[in-house]
Amino acid sequence: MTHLLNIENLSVDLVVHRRYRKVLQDVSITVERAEVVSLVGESGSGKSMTARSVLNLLPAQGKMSGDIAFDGQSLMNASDKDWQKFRATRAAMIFQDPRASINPVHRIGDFLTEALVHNRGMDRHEALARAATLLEQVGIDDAKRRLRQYPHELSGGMLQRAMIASVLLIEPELILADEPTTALDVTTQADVIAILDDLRAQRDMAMLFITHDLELAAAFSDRVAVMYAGYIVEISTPTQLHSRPLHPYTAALLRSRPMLHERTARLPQISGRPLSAFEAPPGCPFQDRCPYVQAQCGGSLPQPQLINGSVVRCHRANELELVSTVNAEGGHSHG
Amino acid sequence: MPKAVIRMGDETAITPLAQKLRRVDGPAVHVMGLRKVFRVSGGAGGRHHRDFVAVEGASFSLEQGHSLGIVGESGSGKTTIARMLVGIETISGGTINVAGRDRSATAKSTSERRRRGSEMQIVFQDPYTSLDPRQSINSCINEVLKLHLTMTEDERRQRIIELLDQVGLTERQGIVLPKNLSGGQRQRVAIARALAAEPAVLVLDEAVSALDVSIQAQIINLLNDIRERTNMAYIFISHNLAVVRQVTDQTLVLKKGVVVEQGDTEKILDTPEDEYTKLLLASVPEPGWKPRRVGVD
Repeated sequence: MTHLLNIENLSVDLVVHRRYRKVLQDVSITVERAEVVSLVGESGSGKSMTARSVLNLLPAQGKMSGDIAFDGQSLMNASDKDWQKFRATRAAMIFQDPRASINPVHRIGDFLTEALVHNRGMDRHEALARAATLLEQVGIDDAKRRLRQYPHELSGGMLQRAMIASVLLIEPELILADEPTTALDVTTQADVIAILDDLRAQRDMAMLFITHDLELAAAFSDRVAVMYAGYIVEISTPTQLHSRPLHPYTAALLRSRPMLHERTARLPQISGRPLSAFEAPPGCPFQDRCPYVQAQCGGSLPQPQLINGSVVRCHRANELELVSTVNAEGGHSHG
Repeated sequence: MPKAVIRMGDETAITPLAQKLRRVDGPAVHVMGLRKVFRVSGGAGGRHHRDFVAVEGASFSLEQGHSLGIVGESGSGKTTIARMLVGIETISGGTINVAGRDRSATAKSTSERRRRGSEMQIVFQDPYTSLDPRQSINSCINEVLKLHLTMTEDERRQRIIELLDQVGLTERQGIVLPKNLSGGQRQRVAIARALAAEPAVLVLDEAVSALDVSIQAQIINLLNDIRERTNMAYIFISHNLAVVRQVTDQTLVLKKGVVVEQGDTEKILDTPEDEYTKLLLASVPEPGWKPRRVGVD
């Protein structure tokens, strides 16, 4: 069976201060139909750039190498027109900040129906009727009135729901969601995630979900990929990732989270700061911050290897026994 | 490539800061019936006004060396409370007392403003916009020392090194501009700058919210170290309940300007009584979490 999305050995260089700088290195991941895959990582890890590459939405002069295939077909040599068609019909992005990505001078109705009317040639009235139905599905009451309103008249949570509705309107097979709930309050976040969860179950939509929140990724996805300095360092199921992380970065990141249910006298911290791909030293990108570093780590870049169904990029993955919580012997103290 | 030097606190000798911190009799902060009403223009041509109550009757007391969390969602009034405490916003009702002195009315003189500044300092959320991009780190801290303390130039130079060291920055990092530092390092500078005034109370307004998880852990540990060493009181404003658990001993939950619950942090997070507090806790993703649809905000 072909993968819905198959990213293979993707590397991306962007122009920063008139120089090409690496932002993604040898990224390989698949997304199957109706599957939710999360990309988690800290700033500069390359999670957003991975999603942007899939839609060919890189900044000007960005260079991509490797392969991105959708439904068995490579997109690497697609023309601009093909990309436009791809974005208009098969894959769509939900951005983090709805206020920054929805045109403030257009009414919600025009924003929602633009793709249908322009790209699909649908009648405007029919498109508006469908938009109204979808707004109600994502939990917005009084949809007819909302369609006539401008973005500033809606709260952040409501506007993000409108953005989700706009993506659903084109019925894509793949949704790329870039921190879609980060700008929202926790209660609104729970609501928006519940909506996305319902919709993917009903419509069999696949999702590449980008977040810095490990808990959110675990609760919502089938598989989680952890990124660091432009590399994917580990791909695992949420359960496996939390019970038996394989990469020292994953384990350290999990341990450094403040826990909701207990006070930790001192959070186990990772020294230093997260690196971007272009700053990463030769060899393993995490070596400078890794408590298990050895001579070989500075030598060669660890290649992805398969351990118990998970993919990990660490020279010592086979010998290390890592834990994800401070008091891991007793497991999670609450649930 | 600049490398962050992370000090664990144990390797730094207790600096004179701990002894110098002003002694206060009674609570460090005492707030009674605090209220803020904003006049919002609305209607045709802005001729009609309506009153928007941002904070309605908040009362709390904070002892020296303790830490109070103020939690709530956007529009809860938590930042408005912080702004009223430090005097960026006037108050519409109630009283504020910090370090034994009333500051309910606007400061009338420069010396009064300066004194208030030396009693209470604030650290903002965004380390990218809260530092002057053209001012070196040393100069930024030096300015605060000059303003609030009587010191010779040599003493100030020494003190800057101590302060940088206390927040885990090197002497070399003091001579650079903010743009040469990472987000976490800048937040350390913002904390060092606040500590420079030797305040009795530190207000932290979402001070770790914009930071990466691994950096957030470093700053949380740093804040806990500083409180232990200096006996400073914190008012810690955050939407993140897990972080509030780590940094505070008491918590106040705000909803639309009204305090719905307040008490010991552990009690509030372990056995919440108010429905809204329960909803906030249920909304935090954790293992086994199933999001619920609660309807439009």
